[in-house]
Amino acid sequence: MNDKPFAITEEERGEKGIYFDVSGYIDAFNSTEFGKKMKKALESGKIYITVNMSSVRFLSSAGIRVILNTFKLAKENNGLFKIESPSDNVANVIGMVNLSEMMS
Amino acid sequence: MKQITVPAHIDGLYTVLEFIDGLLKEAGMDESSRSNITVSAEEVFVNIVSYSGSGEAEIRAEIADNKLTLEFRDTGTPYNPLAQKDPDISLPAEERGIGGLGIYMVKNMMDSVSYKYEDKTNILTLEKNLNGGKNANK
Repeated sequence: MNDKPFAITEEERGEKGIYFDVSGYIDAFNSTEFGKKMKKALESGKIYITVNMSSVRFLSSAGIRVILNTFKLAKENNGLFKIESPSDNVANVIGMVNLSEMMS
Repeated sequence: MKQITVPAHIDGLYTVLEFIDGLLKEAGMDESSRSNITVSAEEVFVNIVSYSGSGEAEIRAEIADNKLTLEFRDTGTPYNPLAQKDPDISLPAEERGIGGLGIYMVKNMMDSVSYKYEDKTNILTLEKNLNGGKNANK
């Protein structure tokens, strides 16, 4: 099995903010890692979450579930979840499920 | 018609995706066009892994007359994923459930999706026109 590339870097943005840069494939495998990172951020009190997806080449429903969960949890804690600079593939999929409000 | 048989386990996912992506590359499709199809293939395969209980899944693929046909076959529990209710995507994000998104996406990305149960086999067939069909340039 060849692993599909996936990378995520993070940078704190003040006390309650965090910025992620994700690249590669957010598929059924890699969405687990993606979800863990989002959960960890929320648990450490980061409620303003921005995820740059300009280099994401593949986003499946497994990734969308993580995005949706993170969005809901951030909002419940009076925070905000945003996708920044989505690639064409990401924008296509997010638009298809009518979640364009998350993209900036 | 090309075909592969893989264990109906998540570890088989990339084998399935590479099999299909290879065929699409041979047909000269760009990455963006291929992505919609491989995302659909992932959704269907992950469904089989999650619900069928079958040991194996067989995938048949063909491009003829500018039309792609993908057939996913498994001998597990009869299960029609198309019978699942579409998620209500008009709801605001915070009120959304997380079920049914995958198959909903497949239905949107492909031109035709059909299911039949025949010879104790679940057969889900996906079709996409590669020229001029829905989302042909996406």
